[in-house]
Amino acid sequence: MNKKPFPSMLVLGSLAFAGVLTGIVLTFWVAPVEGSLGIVQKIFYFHVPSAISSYIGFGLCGIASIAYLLKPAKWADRLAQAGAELGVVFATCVLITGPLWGYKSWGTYWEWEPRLTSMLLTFLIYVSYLLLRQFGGEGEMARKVGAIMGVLGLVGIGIIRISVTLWGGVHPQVVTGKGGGIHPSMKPAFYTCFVAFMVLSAVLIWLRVRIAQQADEIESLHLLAGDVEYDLEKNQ
Amino acid sequence: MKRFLRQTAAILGKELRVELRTREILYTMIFFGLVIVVVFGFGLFEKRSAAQAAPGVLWTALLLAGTVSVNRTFEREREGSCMTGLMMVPGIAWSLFLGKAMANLLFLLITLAVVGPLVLFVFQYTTVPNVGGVALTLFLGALGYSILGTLVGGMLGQVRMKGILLPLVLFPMILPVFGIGVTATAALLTEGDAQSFEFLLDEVKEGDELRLELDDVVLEVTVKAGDEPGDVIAALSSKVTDAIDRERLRGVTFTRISNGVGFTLVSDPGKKLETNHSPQIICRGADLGSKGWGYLPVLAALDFLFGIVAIWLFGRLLDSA
Amino acid sequence: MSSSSRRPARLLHAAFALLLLLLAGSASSLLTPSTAVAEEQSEAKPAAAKAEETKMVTGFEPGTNEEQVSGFNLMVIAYLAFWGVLFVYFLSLVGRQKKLKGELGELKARLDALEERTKE
Repeated sequence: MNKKPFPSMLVLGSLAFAGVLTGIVLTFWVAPVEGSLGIVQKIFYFHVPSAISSYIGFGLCGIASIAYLLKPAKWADRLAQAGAELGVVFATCVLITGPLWGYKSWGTYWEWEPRLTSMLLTFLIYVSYLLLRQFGGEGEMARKVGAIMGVLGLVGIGIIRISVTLWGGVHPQVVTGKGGGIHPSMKPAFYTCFVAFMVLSAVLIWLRVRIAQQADEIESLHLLAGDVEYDLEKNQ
Repeated sequence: MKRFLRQTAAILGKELRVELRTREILYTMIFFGLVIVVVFGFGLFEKRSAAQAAPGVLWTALLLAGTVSVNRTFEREREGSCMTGLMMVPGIAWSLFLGKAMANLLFLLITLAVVGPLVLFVFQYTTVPNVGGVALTLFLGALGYSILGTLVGGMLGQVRMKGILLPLVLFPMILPVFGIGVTATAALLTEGDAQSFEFLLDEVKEGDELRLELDDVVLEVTVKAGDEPGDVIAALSSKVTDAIDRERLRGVTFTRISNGVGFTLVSDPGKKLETNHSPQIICRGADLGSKGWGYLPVLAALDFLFGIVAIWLFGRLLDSA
Repeated sequence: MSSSSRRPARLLHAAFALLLLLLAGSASSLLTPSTAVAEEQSEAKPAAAKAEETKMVTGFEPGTNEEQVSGFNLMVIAYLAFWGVLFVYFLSLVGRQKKLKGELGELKARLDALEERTKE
């Protein structure tokens, strides 16, 4: 079907693999145990990159959806769906690891606090997007409705960010600003994990897009075969 | 009897097989449950008494009742299959959208006019403070809901399983507005009906023990330094003599206030607050109502944003169809 | 077509399986905390507590060193859940790819039959 992606896919896949592996090694055997939180802080090295990956997935879904609405192209639709799936998978990871970490550092599993709340709400929006795509049927109109939902999701992320900050919160802002930052000895592990997750996300998106593409091609070939069969029967 | 059992088993088996293959019922049901949990979490979290739950209940009623009219938005056009005909009319998107949205808004407002007083009655509000503010908040919430609902109703009209997908798609989208609405309504309803005292802790030092008496409630508070320099946190070494239990009071006491860290106590009107601390702690009734009014511009801005986005998307929906 | 689209997927499966094995290995190594961690923890404690900690386990007692253990357990759970979720997603992708392969077989049979008929 398309032989081209194979070598680069292999390169990308092994890169992601090596990156994640290095990240694990650095996290557990090189980075020191954090002073006040203890060993549970090691969740951080995977928690934060996953959060970033999930937002990248959601953003990809939104942008691809806008592209689809402007000019209906199959690639945009596939990319949107792949992005949403990736985002939901990583958001699930974040929503599972977050409370476990929070239990240790805040003393509660759940707080209605900006970052947690916005992750949860964004997660819900994109799960509903996926349900819509899964059960909403097929065809041009369903794809368009999906794209509208994707754009709504992107708007939703913005609105969520605005509205949840009205509640105030306790989440540390380690990466983006005011917080204390991370100790230099923890940086290699964190940045390795970060890069590895970016590559891993790219691989997963690629796989997902390719599956959709192949499914579409198989379907169009079936349609073609159907046409030929019809013609044959008519001629007989 | 045997036949009855066999038939039942056959039908059950068929249902399960179909579900196992598509999984559409279970997936959507579980997700709907999750969404409802979040809705109630948003609406009722940190509400310590039945009366404080009123805003959450009111907004949840709005959310659930709204699905009825939203679900019907484009139903008649679809049943009569005149949707395609409508789509042919050039420039119809604006008027179609606005007309439908306004109808939805009107239905919601009428419903609220009945349900609102009912909720206040059930939760025993004898007087309603900031009636205008509460009404305006609900209006803005209903506006956003009808805008979004009209778009979602219109777009889901074009796909399978519309009725099931509608709340699943609509609720997560509207939840930020819902959250702000509940917070604003709660703040607006608090003023007047309840006093709130803010304790400014600049005159106490670490280790001070305070005894706060609020008629029948007695709090014993030890002042502790917080993690950050200059941060003072009052910790309850508390003994509470009334029905309010310790956990709940902790929630009340540690609300952040504008001036550093303090705590806020909300009480029924007419009660007097005394402390043994000398000099007397400054306590003043916080103007919770004005805080509530502050949310209104945000709600209005969100509605505006929803409006722009929804009209563009609605235009795209009708465009090539 | 089928061979070229299957090969990279198979390689990836192998890579992920290996990754999972390694993770299982690292998780098991975590179950016995590394010496660096143990040292750091014990430094803060008085000698008596240290002796208590290094004592052979002869029975189960509640409440010893709960604080540290809970943090450690939380981390292990978090990591297992994390990789579990990713792995389930990956499995679902593999499943979909497999389904496509089946469909491809069907398509091939259909096209072959068609070819026969056009020859006639």
